[in-house]
Amino acid sequence: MPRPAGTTDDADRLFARALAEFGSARARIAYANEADRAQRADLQQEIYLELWRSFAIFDGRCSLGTWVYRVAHNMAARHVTRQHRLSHRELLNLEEITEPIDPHDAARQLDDEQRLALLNKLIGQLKPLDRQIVLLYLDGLDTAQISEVTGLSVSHVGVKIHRAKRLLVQLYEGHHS
Amino acid sequence: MTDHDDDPIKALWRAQSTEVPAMSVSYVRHRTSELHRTFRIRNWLEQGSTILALAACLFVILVTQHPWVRSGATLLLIGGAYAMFQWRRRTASLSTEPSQSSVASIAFYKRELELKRDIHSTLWRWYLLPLAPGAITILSWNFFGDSPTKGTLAPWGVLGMLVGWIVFSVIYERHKATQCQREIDALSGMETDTGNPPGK
Repeated sequence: MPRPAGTTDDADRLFARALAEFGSARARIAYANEADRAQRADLQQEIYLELWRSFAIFDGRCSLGTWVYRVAHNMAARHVTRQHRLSHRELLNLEEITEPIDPHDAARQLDDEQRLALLNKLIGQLKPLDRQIVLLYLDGLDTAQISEVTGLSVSHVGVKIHRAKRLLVQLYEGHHS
Repeated sequence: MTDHDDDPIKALWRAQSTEVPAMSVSYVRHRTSELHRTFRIRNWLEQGSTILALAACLFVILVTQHPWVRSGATLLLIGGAYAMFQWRRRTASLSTEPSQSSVASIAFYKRELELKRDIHSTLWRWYLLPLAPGAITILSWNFFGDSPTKGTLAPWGVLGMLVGWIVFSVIYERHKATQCQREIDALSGMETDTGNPPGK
């Protein structure tokens, strides 16, 4: 029978484990959702605090990884919504992005740093749920795990991932085509 | 296209430098307790000031023999208690689990924003309006009754402050409601087809 983490020591232990195992994944989530350095630091801190608070009710019904990803992505989605209200920038579905790479960029050789910048730009154009799917996919989660984190059906995640893979390959190999 | 075509970009993504700031468990615990303390102090201040105001009304009711003042204070006491009850009822209805799935979390966040918007846009009706009868009675006594301040500038000063406070409150609450609505609109514009049946 799953039980909440209960004591503060349990929560501390879980938090320390989450930092050790998923610290860089959590940082990448913040990085992909906020370009401004100062605001990114705030978002990272918000994720840290929410994560620590959340372990008071962690009941072990899902894996630690799923829990960490859910908390971090939920905080990031709220952040994106708040920022979107101010920026009036239009965000897109994966299906609405036809060209992940500018023809100008496609014509030249790109180094890894430039590819990463383009990848971050692509992710920054996406609506929160599609953004989460791409980020979770890039972090190496499989379709079932992504479905568990997002709450979308496995088949729906599969369709989204298929589309995301095409965009990612196009982005990485754009200069060859 | 094979399954492994995008492996290099996955590897690149995972290898990127993200400038992870160091944050220890003790620091996070300290920050959380700080936030809780700030929240508790704000709650005490809000509730404390309302209780003080209600206690002052009760004191006036018990001490004064003047019917006009007494009825004004009674109306203020009833209006204030009603406003306090409504405030608590409307602000304490939603609570969420931080680890809900993204779809559930986003839906919850939207409902939370709608609730906040409704609180801000209707606040005048259930917070300001119940206080009006008491305030009008007390002011009427100052203007038309046998108040020692009748004929002086004091009642006008009080009236001016009251009107200023009401106008400021209404404008501020409208602004907050508009902010919530903008965020709801932004959220609606960002909704993805979830592929799940409605309500799931």
